[in-house]
Amino acid sequence: MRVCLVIPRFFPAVGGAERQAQALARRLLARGHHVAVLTRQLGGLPRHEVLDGVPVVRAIRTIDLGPLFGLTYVLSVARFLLAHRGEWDVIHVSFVYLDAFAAVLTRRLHRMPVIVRPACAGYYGDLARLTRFRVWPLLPFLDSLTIRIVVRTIVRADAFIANSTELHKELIGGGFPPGRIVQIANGVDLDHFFPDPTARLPEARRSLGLPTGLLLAFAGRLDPQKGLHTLVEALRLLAAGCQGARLLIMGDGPQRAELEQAVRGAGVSDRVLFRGLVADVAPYLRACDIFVFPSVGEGMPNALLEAMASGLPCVASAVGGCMDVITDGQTGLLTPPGDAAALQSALQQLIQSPEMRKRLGAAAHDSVASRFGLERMVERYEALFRAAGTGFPLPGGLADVLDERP
Amino acid sequence: MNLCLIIANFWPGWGGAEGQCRLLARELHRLGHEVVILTRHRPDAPSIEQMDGVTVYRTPAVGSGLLRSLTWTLTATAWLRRHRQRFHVVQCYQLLSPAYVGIFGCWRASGRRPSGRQPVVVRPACSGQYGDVAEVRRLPLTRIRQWLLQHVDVFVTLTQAIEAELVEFGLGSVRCQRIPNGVDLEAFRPASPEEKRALRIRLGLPEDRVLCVFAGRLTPQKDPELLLEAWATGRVGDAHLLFVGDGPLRQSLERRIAPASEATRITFIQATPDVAPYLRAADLLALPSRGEGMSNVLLEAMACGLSVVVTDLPVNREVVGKDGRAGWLVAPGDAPGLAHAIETLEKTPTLRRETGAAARARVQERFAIRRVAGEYLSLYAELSS
Repeated sequence: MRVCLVIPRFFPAVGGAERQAQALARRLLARGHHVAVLTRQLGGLPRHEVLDGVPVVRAIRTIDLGPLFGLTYVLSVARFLLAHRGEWDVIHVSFVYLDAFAAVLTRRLHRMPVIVRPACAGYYGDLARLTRFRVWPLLPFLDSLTIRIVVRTIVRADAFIANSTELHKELIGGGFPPGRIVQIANGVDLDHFFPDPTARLPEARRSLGLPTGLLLAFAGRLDPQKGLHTLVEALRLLAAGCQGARLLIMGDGPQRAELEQAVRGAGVSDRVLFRGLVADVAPYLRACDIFVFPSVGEGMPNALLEAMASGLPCVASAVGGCMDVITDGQTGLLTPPGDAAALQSALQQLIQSPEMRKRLGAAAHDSVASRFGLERMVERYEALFRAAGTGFPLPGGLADVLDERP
Repeated sequence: MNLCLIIANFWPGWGGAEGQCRLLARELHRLGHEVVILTRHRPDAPSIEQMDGVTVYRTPAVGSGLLRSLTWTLTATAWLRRHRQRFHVVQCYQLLSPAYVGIFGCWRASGRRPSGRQPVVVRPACSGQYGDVAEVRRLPLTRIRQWLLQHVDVFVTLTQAIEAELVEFGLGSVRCQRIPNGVDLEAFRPASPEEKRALRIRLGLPEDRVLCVFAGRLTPQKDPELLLEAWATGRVGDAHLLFVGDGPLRQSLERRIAPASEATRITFIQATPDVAPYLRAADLLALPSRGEGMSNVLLEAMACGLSVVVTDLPVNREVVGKDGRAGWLVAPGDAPGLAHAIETLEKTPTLRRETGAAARARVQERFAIRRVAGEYLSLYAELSS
């Protein structure tokens, strides 16, 4: 099968959606499909390149000037798809964004099935972001009209992939046709993320430059969506009962300076390690004791799946995909987003009970291994793409066959 | 203007530097300049020969290896000292013996220039592990060679990489001028679909499959084995692979495909002085080299409007242009990546057409021999005034 994956940003940008697209592309290639990634031309990067075995075409070219940006973006994607009419069996678009709009708008002309995969639900989700999108700087009333047209158009895509139950619900609430929404959760590479108790031994820790003692971990972009201020506050509350536990923050982002300040302000700077961007978090995760994920909005968080696959007991906010992944009290702990006191008490429980850490960690690993393996995800995509190849609209049963709602 | 081009190996033969030397000589002659090529004697060619309006002088050498280089350097230097008065500028190909011929030949000579010696231009061929500087470092008397090379007036460099190596070798005091390789846009022009079909019938190549060509010496530097590996992955669609060239790896390559079913999808053709028909008959060029000066065949294939898949070397990035419209970049040694790029082009005629057209445009804009010869001429004019 010939699959074109369209995504607004690709490597070297590294968000969750980009990593999922990369993993999907590599696995589909390994399974004998023909795959290429279509993405935006960013300064200085070559237009045609094979990255990690994945062919990348940076053919989306824009003029970054007010309304011209959206216009050139859409025209650029449309031009590519029309020129490539009949050369792909499936067009898979990540994010509900201008690429999806362009692909669906010209659907009848290029006649290739378009499958749209929003990344995330909630305030930081695709639909909410779209409504905050400013197309016409001087004519705000045109914005809502434009966005309505964009959404109405995208709704006509051949199929949608929701990676969490929350997103599934949101799409239905947003007027997307339920019969064409398929739920496929993200996958995690179980060969790369696995538990290893010896990784927590002092010498193993030292080789990574990590301290001994109880170690909490967070991994992700440092931006407001990840709710790290709540975590800093919880650490402050925890001060007395933390038994010397420290927090390892892996990642970088716009909020870094602000967070470092907050950590100093809360008087916990001796207990927080900012490690910056880490190329491969797997060995670090294995070396930690607890994973904490205070996000206020999530699609299907790769970081959480990876921590669970590494056998870490996790404390996460009860938002988006976190709720699909964690059964509270069995495979992890869920706390209300933004509630520092609840987060503190959950952390306290885990810190004080090695037995509970062990139990939740093992359960987390087993649950992720059985439900969120990368192979399983790719098989589902493959089934969907194959169905798309044989002709849409989807035969009624397909959505149910693939449906992953618990 | 009167010019002397010095090159160790010349026609018959078809290495990169030889091809560039011949092309430049022909273009300079066409523009009304007097060009002489000074090269090494070979048994199969006369000592003096007229070729495209250019006179080729071949001076003798004996023995082989270093002795041959040494004796040729002596005879060629003697020739140049006798005839140096005729020339405005002397240009040498490679940092090896031709450079020393130029340096000794013009040493303290009373020439047309008031300062009493002809300017010597040296053009190193290649950078990296297989490059000129690396070769000089391997040879004996490196320090003396380095001191001698400081007497060069200008280095013509193909790429940033060569420039950096020269500076690192202690030749930073010598001026460097960047001039790329050139390509003949007439001989290498895109073929129409009918023409392509006719060419393939004439050359006995498959008519209706995507044809991917590799042209060049079959040496480890060019890494032709990577193409066999790419074909062995089975991920190149229905593409047919054509090797044009000879070299030490040829036998092992042929042995590797002999028993496999791949034999029907891979063809070998002997090295040929005229590669244009093969390039014009093909759809893609794959160049998996681990090191390149500036590949002539890459420029020629681009001039023929082929989609090119090349390794991600700085020089190849320079050739395909900053925006990279004109080709595909693959990491060196990455067989699956190479296969995926070829598969992408095999399966999407649109991408093939677009990259091909962009390649032709890129070559026209930057590497046309007219333009390149013009750059050389303005350098010569500046040096001899």
